[in-house]
Amino acid sequence: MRRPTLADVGAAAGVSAKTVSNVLLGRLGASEATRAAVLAAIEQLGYRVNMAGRGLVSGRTGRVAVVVPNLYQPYFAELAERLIHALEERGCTTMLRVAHDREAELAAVLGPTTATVDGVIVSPHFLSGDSLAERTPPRPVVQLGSAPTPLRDCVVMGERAGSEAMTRHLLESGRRRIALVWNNAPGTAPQGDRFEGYLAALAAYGVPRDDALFVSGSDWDRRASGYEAMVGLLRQKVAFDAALCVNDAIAVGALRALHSFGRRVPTDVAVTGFDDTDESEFTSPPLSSVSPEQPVMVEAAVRMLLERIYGYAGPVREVRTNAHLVLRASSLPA
Amino acid sequence: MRDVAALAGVSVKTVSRVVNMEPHTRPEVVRRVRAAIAELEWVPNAAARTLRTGRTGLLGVGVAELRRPYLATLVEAIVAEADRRRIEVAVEPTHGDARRVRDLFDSCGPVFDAVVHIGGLPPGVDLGGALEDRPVVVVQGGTELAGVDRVDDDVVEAVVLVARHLAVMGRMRPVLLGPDRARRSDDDPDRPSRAMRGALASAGIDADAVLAVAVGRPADRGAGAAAAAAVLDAMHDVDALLCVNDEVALGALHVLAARGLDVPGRVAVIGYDNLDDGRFSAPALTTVDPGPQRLARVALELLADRLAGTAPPHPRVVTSPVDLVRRESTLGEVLL
Repeated sequence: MRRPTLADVGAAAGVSAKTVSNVLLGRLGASEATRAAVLAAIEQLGYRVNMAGRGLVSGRTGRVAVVVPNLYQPYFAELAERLIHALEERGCTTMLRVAHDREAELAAVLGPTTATVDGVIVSPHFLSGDSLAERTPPRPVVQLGSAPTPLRDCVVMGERAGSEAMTRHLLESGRRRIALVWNNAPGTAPQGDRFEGYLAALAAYGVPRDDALFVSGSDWDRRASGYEAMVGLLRQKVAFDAALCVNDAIAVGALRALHSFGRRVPTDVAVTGFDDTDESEFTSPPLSSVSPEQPVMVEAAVRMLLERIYGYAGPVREVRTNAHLVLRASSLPA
Repeated sequence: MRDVAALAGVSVKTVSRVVNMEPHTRPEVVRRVRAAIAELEWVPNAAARTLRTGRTGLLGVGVAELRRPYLATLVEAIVAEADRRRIEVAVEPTHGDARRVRDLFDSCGPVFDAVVHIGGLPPGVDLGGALEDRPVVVVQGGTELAGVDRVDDDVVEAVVLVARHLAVMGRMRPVLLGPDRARRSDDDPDRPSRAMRGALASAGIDADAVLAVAVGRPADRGAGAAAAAAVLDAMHDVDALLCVNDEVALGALHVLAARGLDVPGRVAVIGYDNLDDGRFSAPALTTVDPGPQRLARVALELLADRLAGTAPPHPRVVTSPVDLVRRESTLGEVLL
């Protein structure tokens, strides 16, 4: 069978080949409806971009680097897979980098370890905006999640809104002593959008902040960290009736620690996570969590990167996405 | 290399470790070896390092999907091992689709220096020329795969460990949720594999009475919960669930908890994969650890030899040891 061409896709979608090309390249201008029609036609016809042809014309490789801090956190494995598929839909191949530390993250963004790609989508954990201040990446970079920076296009997760909504949910169901099981390094104070959301909800209910309720484990995102942080809290003999956990992995560890120490969830302590990973539905009890709406984040990041790769040179953009609560048994009223 | 080793006062193996930037070498030893290399102006054999200096420097990794936590763990181990060897990795989710897998193998050469494929190959995928023209290693692709370098976890040892553990703890009426890992294509799909039946019989369990129940795809927590619910409805005397993987086992634990059935008092549960999730479930999950880091290391070693031309002309098969991790879902509350 003949390989479908750009013109075939255009005919099926009822638009010109040029419009198909614009959608594929992520150029501005096509309406959402046109975009959807073109993507549906591509899916239906099984059209694949001829990267060799594209590379000959542009000198581009058609390869995009996706940088995540790890894959053992289900959140990042899911995110990486969604990004790979979204890029593949646009005819790009993906080089997946797992950056275990700040140096690896910086090297991936600045180029030494991603020299053969057209652009980079980074879901950073270690990088802050200023660590790139002196050096400009040699190729387009889009940041997905974490604190935004004026240095590059960013997709900002609804961290503050999600965290505030979850804290409000706990307060509405009568909880007043809400512990934070967090990801700050031991000896430092919690910070960031999720923390701000928590404080805003407390303030709205007139509940005073109590730093004795803030704990964190020795690592930022392992189930074991949630376990050890919760053990630490339980040993301090501080009264608490809820635990707002910074992510699902931490919450799973905290749940298990509470179980081991004979505290009932949610009767004695309500527990909540963040990320709404596949795991949260099947924990014991099932875990209330915040869904960061990954598909929307991924779509925005891929679109902005391809626009940059194909020549958009306008000011840095910031796309803010939403988050919504997924409530399960772990936070039912006592 | 011998001269370098002699001057540095270490073994040839240690020099090789330093040159290949492998971990677990003390800093002062690294310094001594580097000094010796500099003094002798020794240059490592380029052919032996092709994987780092090959045309594209890129390793393709084919995996069904990253959303399965064990597959993500194995990919992460392969990426870490490749990083250590200064090789870049492109991960391609294949969803077990023959066209995607063929595309991946066809990219070996033009795009990738080599390919690691995780899991069994879908029907209709031809591995012709896998040894010479396109270096491919299959990890955990099943013991029946021929004509390609592969590394597998020791599934036969795994079923022996599981059967003995069951018998020792007096569990005589187990049911399999999904096939056991030693299953071969000519085994009866509704029964344990021949290897598992042999292991059960040796342990004193009536293997003929043991059924294997199908699990939906993907074999995740939801599928495990559904399969466990069906078994509990139909077979009231089941005293152990042997699950095809940890996700299915965690789904089974979820259903048992929802029904108020004590684990392991009423039913013991065993998984496979040693996911981090299972350490923190309540109860913590007994499981088989297939050793993903070891599998990743062997896979990259097999590829490096193949690319360097130092591998034999026939396919190589490595069987990597497994470990039974005993936790609360079979032992009960443990004071460790």
